[in-house]
Amino acid sequence: MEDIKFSETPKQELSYYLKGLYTELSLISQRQFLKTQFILNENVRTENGEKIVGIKVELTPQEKDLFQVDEIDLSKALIPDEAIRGILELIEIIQSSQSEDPGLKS
Amino acid sequence: MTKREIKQRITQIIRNLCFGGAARSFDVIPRSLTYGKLYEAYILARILEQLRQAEHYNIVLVNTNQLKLKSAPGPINRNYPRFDLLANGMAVASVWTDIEFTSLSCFRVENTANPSLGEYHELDIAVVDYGVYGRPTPDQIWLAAECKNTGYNKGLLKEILGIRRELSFVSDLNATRFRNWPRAQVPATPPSCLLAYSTSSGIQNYSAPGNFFGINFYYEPLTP
Repeated sequence: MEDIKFSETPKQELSYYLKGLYTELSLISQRQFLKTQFILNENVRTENGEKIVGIKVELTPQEKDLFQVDEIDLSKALIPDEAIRGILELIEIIQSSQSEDPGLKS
Repeated sequence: MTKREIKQRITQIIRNLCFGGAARSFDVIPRSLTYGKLYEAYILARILEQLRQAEHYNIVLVNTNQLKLKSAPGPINRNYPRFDLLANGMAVASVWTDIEFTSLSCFRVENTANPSLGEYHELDIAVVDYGVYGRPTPDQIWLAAECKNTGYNKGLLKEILGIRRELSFVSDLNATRFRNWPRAQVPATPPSCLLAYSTSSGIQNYSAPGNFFGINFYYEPLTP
């Protein structure tokens, strides 16, 4: 994450913090998975002409025994977009607020 | 919105991230493994994009319609999924992930049949001659890439320099198997291209030896 820059008002500061949190979490979210899959499908074809439908990680026998799963489906192992969408909604609410000091009014 | 409401919203978001995030069955798997493999998949996609757009190969995913990475490296198994590079309709090379190659030191003493632990090394991504299986020898490798979803440091520099050492001798410039990307010539024999990727901009601080040894260092962050 970038160095925190102190802003002039609590509204700016909270928005800045939440934007940073959203950016960092986006990097390990399903969105990043979909972006990777999109680049693959733009440049690669499969033998039967269908799209690449998933990205999985095969585990070693020891890892399979330890984690009790055979493979990792990256589409399910990353942070779902809906889990971070709330951050965007909160940023929008704060930025649309008339007050420069959101949350301090009561 | 009141202060209390904002606090409640942030608490709820964090709760969702902690307890409603990834599927429960994956909770026990180290995040470093999951995110490291995501980065490897992303870099693989970027490399394939360059091979398609800059080198004009047609690329086919073989044996599956799912990209499969491995959590541990091993010799090339041709039953595994791979990407074939086609030129004029002919497969000329294959792209593999998480494979081991036979080191130059082992190859030169012709001990490839029974290498010891120190005589083969891992590559995150490799482009090798079409049809190769087992542990490819340095002369069969067109391109090798390492992906680091971490900060970059001197230890990682020494690691990539070690891989360069075991892939090729330093030499005058030789033509690679590529016309443009990642480079048309490299000061190495055999003339393999070696690429190091990191999510850390700090990788640029360590890139100077690459000019001499023929290593490309890339700062390639994940972007939202």
